[in-house]
Amino acid sequence: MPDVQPLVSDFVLKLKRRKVEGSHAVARQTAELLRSVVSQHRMGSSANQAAALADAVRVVGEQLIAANPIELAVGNIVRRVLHIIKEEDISSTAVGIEGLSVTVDSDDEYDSEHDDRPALSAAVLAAHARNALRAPSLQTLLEDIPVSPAISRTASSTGDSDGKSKSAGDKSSTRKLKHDVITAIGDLIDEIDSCYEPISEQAVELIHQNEVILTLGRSRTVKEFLYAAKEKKRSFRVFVAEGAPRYQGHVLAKELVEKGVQTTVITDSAVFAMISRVNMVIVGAHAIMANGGVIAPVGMNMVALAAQRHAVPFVVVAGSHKLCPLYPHNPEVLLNELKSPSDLLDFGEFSDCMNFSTQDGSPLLNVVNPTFDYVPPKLVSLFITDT
Amino acid sequence: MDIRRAPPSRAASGGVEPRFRQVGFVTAAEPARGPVAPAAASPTASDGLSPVMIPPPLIPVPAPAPASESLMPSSPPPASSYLLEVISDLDDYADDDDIDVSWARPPPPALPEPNKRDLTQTKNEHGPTSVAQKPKLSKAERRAIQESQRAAKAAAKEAGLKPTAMASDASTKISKQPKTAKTSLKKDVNQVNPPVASDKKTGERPPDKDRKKDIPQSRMQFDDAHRVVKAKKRSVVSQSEARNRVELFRHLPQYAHGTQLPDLESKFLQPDLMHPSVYKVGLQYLSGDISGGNARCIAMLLAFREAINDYSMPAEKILNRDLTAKISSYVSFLIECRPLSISMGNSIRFLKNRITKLPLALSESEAKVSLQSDIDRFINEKIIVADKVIVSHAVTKIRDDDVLLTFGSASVVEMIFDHAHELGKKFRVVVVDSRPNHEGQRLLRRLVAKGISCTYTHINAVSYIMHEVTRVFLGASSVLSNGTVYSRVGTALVAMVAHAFGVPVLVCCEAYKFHERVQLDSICFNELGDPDAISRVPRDESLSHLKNWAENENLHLLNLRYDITPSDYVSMLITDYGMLPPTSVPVIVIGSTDMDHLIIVVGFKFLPARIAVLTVHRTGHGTRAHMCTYAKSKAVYQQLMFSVFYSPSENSIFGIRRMADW
Repeated sequence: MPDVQPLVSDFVLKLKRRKVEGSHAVARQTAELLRSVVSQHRMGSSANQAAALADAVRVVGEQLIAANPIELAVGNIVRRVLHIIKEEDISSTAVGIEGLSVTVDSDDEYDSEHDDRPALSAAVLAAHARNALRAPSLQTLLEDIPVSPAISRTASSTGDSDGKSKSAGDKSSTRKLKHDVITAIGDLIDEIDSCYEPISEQAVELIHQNEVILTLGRSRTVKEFLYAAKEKKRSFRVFVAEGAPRYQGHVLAKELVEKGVQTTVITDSAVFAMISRVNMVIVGAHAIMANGGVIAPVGMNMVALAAQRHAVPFVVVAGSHKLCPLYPHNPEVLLNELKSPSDLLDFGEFSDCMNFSTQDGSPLLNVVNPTFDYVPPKLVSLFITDT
Repeated sequence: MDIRRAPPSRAASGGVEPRFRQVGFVTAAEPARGPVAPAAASPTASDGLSPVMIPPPLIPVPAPAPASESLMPSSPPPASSYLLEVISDLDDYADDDDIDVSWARPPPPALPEPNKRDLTQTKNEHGPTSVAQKPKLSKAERRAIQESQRAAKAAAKEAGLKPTAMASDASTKISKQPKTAKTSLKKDVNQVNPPVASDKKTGERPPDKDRKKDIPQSRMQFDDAHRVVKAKKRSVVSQSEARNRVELFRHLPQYAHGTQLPDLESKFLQPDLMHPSVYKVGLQYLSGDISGGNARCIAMLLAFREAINDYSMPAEKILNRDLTAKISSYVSFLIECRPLSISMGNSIRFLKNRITKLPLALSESEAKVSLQSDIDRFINEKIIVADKVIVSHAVTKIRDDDVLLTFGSASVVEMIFDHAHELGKKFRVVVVDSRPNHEGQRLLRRLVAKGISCTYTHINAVSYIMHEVTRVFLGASSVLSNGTVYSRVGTALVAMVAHAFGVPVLVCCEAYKFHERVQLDSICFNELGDPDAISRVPRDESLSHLKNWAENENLHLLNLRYDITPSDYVSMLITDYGMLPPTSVPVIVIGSTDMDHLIIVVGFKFLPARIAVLTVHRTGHGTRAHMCTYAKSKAVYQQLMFSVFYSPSENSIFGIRRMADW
């Protein structure tokens, strides 16, 4: 553990100082960090190595989440890693069980009387293992995640049975577990990196000839999505709302134009005027909540409202690392971040005003510069993800 | 004042003829022009589906006698015969039409006239008598005469006479005056047809051409190469078209920014081109020094006032005509500098109308004085006083601890905040701003300097801030007759978000900005700003990625100036005539003749505007009036009944409710 601590605190610091931003970067780096946490983890000789590993990951994960609570991707990745540990553990157990089915059967009684867990029959275990071996679908992800306390229990109980059925301290199985987990995390990183491909494969189904697409700000997923459609020789036009005050729309416009996409940059305020001529709104997201609500760059809610008004489909593209199993409560405030007023006002021009204050000491001038918007699920027509 | 008009028509046409058809939201009736416009606008006496409004004929209001239902309009307007003539002239299609017309509006608001009773009397003796009287007529008398002439004409038309016949008929009656009246009348026709309006570029119009101009002219479409070339020949300002135009907006003019200014500045000293004050105003528009509907309108009117002051009539010309042509050329110059706002279009119409109606008998200096005082009064009554009235209404909607949101920088809204602050109300203002103009920053600066507590944010964050807002105050460039608000771009988004959050949206707009046109989206008419303004990113050089945007033909920048806000987002419209709900009935009082009778024009959301005479019953709370009007739907006349809540002390309608279908 001591070996990873500097790495962890370094990443925590980066998150706190907002040096790392954006779901993709955050998700990737979190996964890499957790991979090194796992690989540095010294497997004790205790029976439940999986639980110990999960605990180690959870401790690090809590630090990371606390460092920047609005980067929901961190939490998502930590949950995914915990899920991986559980899966690997179950699958290795299942392998063991197949060899020792008799032992497991005999263990059953013991299990059920000293544990609150329902009895695990070999069949159930096998089914579970099969489940775990499949690529994680959206459904299984969302279903399994809230069970994280149960994970440890599963791990511990199966570990117990493992320990009982096999000779204690089977080094090779521990090493195998660790190795499997590390490979699985590697796969997760690959998945995060390549999440654009399965998403953009669907582009041709949605974007047809001569369509007009509107987007706001810049999202790499959206960019890849549009590129994919362009590569399939679809010709379409894109309106890009610039996404003040970060002007990411300008970057997107530049990138699209390089690929020969007809692009028109509009101000954010012109969204309502233009949306009547738009066939589809395609946007990226910061996170997708469990209720289907979307945390997205600021301004998205008004785009969604305008799209709804004109019955224009509002499509959100997002990799699965942005799917978050939490339910939002007051997301506009609690899942938001206020940036510096200097994005909006020149300090030089308004510094004198900022000093004004009323009798009760509150300043006369406030500047509000939020980062995110919450788009309620009823405004979203379609989610496109990579799973 | 409408009372004045009515009797002559009856006399002239045998009592039944609707002598005037007033359309849309007109602030105050200008007796002369009102009548005519709608006739052309409504190809429809016969077909009920026309989108245009044909108010039913106005029945003369009985003298201040007790009100009764006898006031109802009696017959549909006889527009069809007129229309035929208009169509027959279709082939002659020149684009030097009247300018302001792209926003051709209903008659310019008239200034209230004091002596109405006199008028009703003078009216009876119209036609011949008027000739004799000509030399020293009071304004009211002059108007009465013109009214009667017009009535005569309308009658002639009704009877199916050819216009020429009519003209000659009229001219036999009264020396030359009818002709001028007639030309003005025809112009109106051109301008009113609704989807149309007319060409923006105008030049002088040779008098003999006038007559053939009856076709409703469509607004200048700048993707029509032929007409653009023609227009260019006349233009004073040489400007090159911007690069990388957005296809969807080819029909709107867009010139490379900054190309005109140096050229214009160099021409400043050439004497014959323009009056210097007009020239100056044009340059100020071009450079953006003057912006905002009211400011531009006032600047223009003052420039015209000065130009009129310095005007000297060339020999052998008629003042009315020559001056109108002059003004038209000024206007077309101003349009080249920046497209007219609706408010400017309306006030130009007012001024031209005044000029055309000047009696020939007036000497040049008298005419000039009269015009200048007209301009002064227009500015004062329609803008300055109107704003004060709006402020006094709006302030009643501000309570302590309110959080008021405004977008951009609207002069009226600012006055409202100032006034509420002076009254000692405790409230907070949220200023929402948008790129690229950042008008809100200037407003913010002024508000903070006055000690009003402010929150500043950009339009993307409007959904974030809307939670804490209790009222939204918005300004408008114009209000169209379906209740749609035409305003600075972004207004629709703010109103939409407020609507979604259940926050009341109050739109403040002077009635002189109202316009009878209907616009369904923000694309068919708009104004394009400088695209370079979008590529410039403030403060942070590292963020500007679009510096050389024009080099790539696939990349376009679009800087829209206006958008339209659907009427269902607007909770209330605050005008100088009171506070009205825009959704059901935008209502403007044309004039109230006395306490017992109101004449109002009503525009329903989907139905044409009507004129109705109200009978007012005084009740405990202010005055309640029942208004009956005909609304035509699918060729069936349907009577609608409204309850109008009218406050005599403030002379404003403060609510209208539809009672029930009869």
